[in-house]
Amino acid sequence: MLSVPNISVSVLFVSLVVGLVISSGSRAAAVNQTKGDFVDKFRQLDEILPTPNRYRNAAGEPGLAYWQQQVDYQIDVKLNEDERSLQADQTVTYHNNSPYTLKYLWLQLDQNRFKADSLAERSVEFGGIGRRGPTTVKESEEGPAAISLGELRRQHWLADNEPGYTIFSVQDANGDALPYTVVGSQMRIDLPKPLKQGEQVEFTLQFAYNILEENAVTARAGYEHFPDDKREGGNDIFLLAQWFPRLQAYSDYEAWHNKEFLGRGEFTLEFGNYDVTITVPADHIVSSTGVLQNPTEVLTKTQQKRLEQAKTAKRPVFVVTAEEALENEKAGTSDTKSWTFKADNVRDFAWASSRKFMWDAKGYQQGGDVAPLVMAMSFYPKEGGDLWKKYSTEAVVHTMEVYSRFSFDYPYPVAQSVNGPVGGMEYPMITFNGPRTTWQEDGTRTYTLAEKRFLIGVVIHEIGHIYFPMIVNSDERQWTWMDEGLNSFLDGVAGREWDPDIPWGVEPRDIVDYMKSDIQVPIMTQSDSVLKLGPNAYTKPAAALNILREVILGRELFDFAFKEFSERWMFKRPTPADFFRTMEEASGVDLDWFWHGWFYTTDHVDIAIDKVYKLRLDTKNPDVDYPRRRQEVEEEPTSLFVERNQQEGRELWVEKNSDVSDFYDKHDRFTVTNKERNEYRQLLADLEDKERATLERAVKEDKNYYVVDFSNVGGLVMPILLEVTYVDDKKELLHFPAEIWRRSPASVSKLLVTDKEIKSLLIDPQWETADVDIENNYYPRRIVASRIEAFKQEKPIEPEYRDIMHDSKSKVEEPKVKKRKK
Amino acid sequence: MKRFMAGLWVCLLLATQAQGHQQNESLVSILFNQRTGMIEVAHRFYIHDAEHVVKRVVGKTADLLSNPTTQSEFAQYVVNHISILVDADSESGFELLGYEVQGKFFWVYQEKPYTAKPHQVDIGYDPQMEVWPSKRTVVNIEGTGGPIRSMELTPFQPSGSLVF
Repeated sequence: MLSVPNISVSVLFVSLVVGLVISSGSRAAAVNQTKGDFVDKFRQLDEILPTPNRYRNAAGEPGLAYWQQQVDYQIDVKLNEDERSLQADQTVTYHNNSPYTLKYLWLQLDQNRFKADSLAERSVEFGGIGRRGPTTVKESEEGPAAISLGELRRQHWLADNEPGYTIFSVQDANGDALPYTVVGSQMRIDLPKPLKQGEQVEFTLQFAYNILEENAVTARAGYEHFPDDKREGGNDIFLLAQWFPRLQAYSDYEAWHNKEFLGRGEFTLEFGNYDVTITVPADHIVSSTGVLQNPTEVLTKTQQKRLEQAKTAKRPVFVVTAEEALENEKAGTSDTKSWTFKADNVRDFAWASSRKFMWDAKGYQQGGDVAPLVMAMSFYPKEGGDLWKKYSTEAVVHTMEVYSRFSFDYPYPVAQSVNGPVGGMEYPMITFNGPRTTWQEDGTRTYTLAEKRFLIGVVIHEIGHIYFPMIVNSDERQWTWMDEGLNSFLDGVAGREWDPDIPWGVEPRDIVDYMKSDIQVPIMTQSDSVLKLGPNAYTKPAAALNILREVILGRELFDFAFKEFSERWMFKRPTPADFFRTMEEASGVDLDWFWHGWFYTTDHVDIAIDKVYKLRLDTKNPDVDYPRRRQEVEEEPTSLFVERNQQEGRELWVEKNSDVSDFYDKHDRFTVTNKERNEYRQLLADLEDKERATLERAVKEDKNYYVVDFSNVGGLVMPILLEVTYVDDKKELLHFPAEIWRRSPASVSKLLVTDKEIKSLLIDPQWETADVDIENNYYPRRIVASRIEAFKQEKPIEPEYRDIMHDSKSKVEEPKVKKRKK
Repeated sequence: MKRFMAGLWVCLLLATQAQGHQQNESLVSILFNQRTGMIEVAHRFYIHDAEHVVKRVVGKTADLLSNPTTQSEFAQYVVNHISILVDADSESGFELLGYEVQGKFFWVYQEKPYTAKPHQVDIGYDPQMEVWPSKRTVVNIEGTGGPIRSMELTPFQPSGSLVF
């Protein structure tokens, strides 16, 4: 039974107040609410977003005069395995498509970030939040200052080796030296003459650097040593990324992107064409951005034949088998081979090399005109084992199938997953993924279900990054969320389409604890300033997009708008404003409140039901209304005072003197007289026909009227998803849009008119909105067990978490029989 | 000049892998549950994080997901590395209630009774930090009668206090 107060409604006539709607008068950032406490949660984002222009229009698409630079690279690089170093000659052709004249070019020298005098190294505070990597702890009451072995090892490595680039020469096309200035992890090359719009300039650059030991230094690439391999001295896997001096981005919204590499904010670059020749030991297998140009020179005939077979195979075909890789890693060679790769329209170039690699491939028959056949391939050592054999390449294919549906056909001829010391990193056409099998003492390799899930998940995530941001070229150094958030949203979609039983992706409930904490920063925070990158740049934006799709727009509108954004910005450079504007413009829904609340504030979602009033329409007919009022009074609890008097046997005066009575003993206060009846008749006579008909219909229908008071505790305006349970236990889900909060952001009331009486109400029954307090979602209130209370009540059994692969090796044992005596 | 003591963390360095994917973070929820009169502590770990830690801490063959002994050892490891002092407490005194795997998370639960609203909570917490240097933990404290208060603990800042 719903315990709500009954309140009579005595006002029948709803008078429409036809007045002037006074605009809240938003006028750019100068608009301030200086009286009262009204907060306009629906203030338009135009006040915050950059003004649309000829390069980026108000719809969020590239404008009529959109431009971006192009940078082409031709590189000859040699891997010196023994010294673990690279040496390269690169020729750069810079196309100035901007309307401006450039007197100099800026390059990124990301390897310099590891030099002792780099901004990144010098700005790390001892015991402070800064560099990704090993630990130091300040002295405190808890104990003395501490430095971890990991940090010591890092320091030792950096002391024993010389990180950073050695630049041998920078020359123009004529071979004349170009002046250059190194500024930390950036380099400025002064051009011999200003480069005008539409012109291109070519220069060469010779460089070398020592490859980092990834596990010692913590980078995004490097080598990993395997000392236990049978080859004397062991073997290495080399992952090479951010390895060559790359031109900084130059854009319409920021000109040169002079943001020093600090280690966290990744990068953005220009698209261009690459022609790279990689010289490595002859027994190495190379995986690289691009298409191999000289397979007949570097692959055996058998390997070439297997690659051909792989194009139409149902399951991955081994180009280099496990046995061949194992044999290969037993010895080395002083011979070299040069692998040549070409890649068109990519924003970066990465590669990997090792004699430990086995290699499998499978053709993904994508169809269409762009890339009808994509070779999905994986490269991994024996340490990857069956986990990689079974799932890596299949996950690559699955990712393309799902992501292309949400964006565009995968536009490159290859997509690769490579195992090495990097947990997960993405580059065009190639990704580095870390999960592996575990060696057991019996010589076998097994993996847990969690490791399997992680491999599939990380491959999906990193291959997904080839779409965002390698093709939709957002700026990771400025806005990590633009690629990580969008990609985390989509990897959740792809994961659930792999196997919905696996707990994939981001559920709104996963972000609740972060959103209610008081140590967050808005999503729209520069990458290197974000305090908690995981929840801020991955989980929260992914959860927000999930909510936008499932709750606010619906799948049809969301998917259309998201695809429109992807297609608009394929091979182009979007900003957050372009994303916000496109999603709004393509869906046809004003989403400024959503972007503002989720991306520009630290509000959280907490909507509560405060009160529910049950109303009943007065008929004005005294012969109906007066008996109703009498009944209402009779249903009220009796006075405790009177009740106790009765219990004590107090005889009332009126009972003892029943012979004394009058009119009022026979007619109570709800007795109807003709006076009321006449007033009612006059009332009906005074009504216009339409009004009378309305009243008669309302009286006849006699519906239930409920006014529900909601409050917005968390501050973030959201739709109210209200589940109504009627007295017959049937349920109905009502959806009140976020706009209900527009003029009253802290509290609102909603009238529910129902045929059946309501038994209970519940906000967000399926936990779709990241509401942080469930208890106040119920009316009547319900005690919601805390996590620990719930844990005490039941002990879940989750058989999927058994490592059956390992357990299945258990031998049958006879049960131990206890000796028993009476 | 202050004393200088270089306390070496005796630990193996886990390969701190560079991630293009999310760096997972753990959560500690401390709830002063007025209904039960207990301080309830729930630790939430991403299962994949926890499993790597288990292998470093408990042993290479340890299996967090299938082996109850490993689960118990990991839970014990977690509670051994946390200190929650409320007001004048001299020791944590929390009972380890149990642990469970739920979805992608591994949970560890502790509780102890309380009688009055807290004025100050001091937390020292470093599970996984020895072996997962980039680990970050958010501590949310709820049920104190005021708004939720939070602190972030990292290898660089493994302890903190909140005054209510």
